[in-house]
Amino acid sequence: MAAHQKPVVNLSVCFFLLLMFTAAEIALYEFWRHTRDHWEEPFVPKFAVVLLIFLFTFPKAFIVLSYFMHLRFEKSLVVLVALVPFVIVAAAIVPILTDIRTLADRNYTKAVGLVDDFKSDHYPGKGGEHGLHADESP
Amino acid sequence: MSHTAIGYPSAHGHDDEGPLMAHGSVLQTGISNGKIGIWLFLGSEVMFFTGLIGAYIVLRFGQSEWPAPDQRLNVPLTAINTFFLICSSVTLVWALQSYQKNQPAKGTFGLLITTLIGAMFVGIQAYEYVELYSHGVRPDADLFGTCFYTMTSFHGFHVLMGVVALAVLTVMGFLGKLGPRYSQHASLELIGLYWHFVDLVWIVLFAIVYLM
Repeated sequence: MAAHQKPVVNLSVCFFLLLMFTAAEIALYEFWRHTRDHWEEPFVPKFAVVLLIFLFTFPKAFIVLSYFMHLRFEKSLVVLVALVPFVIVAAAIVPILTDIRTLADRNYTKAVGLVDDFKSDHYPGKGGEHGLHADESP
Repeated sequence: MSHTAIGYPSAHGHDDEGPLMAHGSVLQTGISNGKIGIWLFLGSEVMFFTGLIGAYIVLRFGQSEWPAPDQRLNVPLTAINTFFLICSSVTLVWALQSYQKNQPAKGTFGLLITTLIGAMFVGIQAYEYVELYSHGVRPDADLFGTCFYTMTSFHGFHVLMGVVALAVLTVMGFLGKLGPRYSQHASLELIGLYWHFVDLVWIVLFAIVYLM
């Protein structure tokens, strides 16, 4: 009976593809980095490299999910259980992306800046070098 | 009532003893409780890691300036680590297939290799942390450090738990407790799903944290 047949996963092909995609990712990034450092401008903008890298990342994820995790051979219920969280999370994250604009005028790449911003946001006009204690809060 | 209509659930080598029975009753889904359980768990893990990644994206693109990863992180070393993790997934599938083909010696060997590769991944990540810390890339240094350590350490912890589980399975393999029957290698299949998921997360994290 066909339903009883074991799925045949060609490990060598999967391994080779994963290796190739990873090597392509790294080679692409290294080439971009080289052109950024040694040319006047990198050969493509950063966002284009990111997009290209993800073009290689998604097939890798697909191979692992489909063949190593056997999702391709599973019953629809398992596929549903596996994929629904991705949809839920995607829907939940999209509204959060609007926070990018909120953060756009702040710089948190320095820890000192983070503390200062926090103090000025939450305790305007107050706070010294060490910030406010709990009993001083407004 | 006949149970024949339920049919065989999946094609995973459950030749002699399918997962249809649990505590003497037939599972209406035709899928073992263990498999449903692990997928639900992995679903929660998907949401956990996607939450982290989503927060990272918001913070990353909300900043006008962000350090280039290659100026702070050791990308070649992590690329090698990525290679190791991919290899471990392959050896784990090979181990499972060996048990299903009634080749327990090969299966146990595959498990041992997978465990060692997993341990190597954790070791290299620990070495990377020490190196970065000594060069001032600390979790409290700035947002880059916070994001980097949060995401990679949570993933590293998952890998560590996977290594522990694989080590237990390896010992079971050496004790002859894993075999070709489904009940004898179900635990390997379920932990294997977890391990591949950890691999999957790393594939995404590597691209986002180290190459973006």
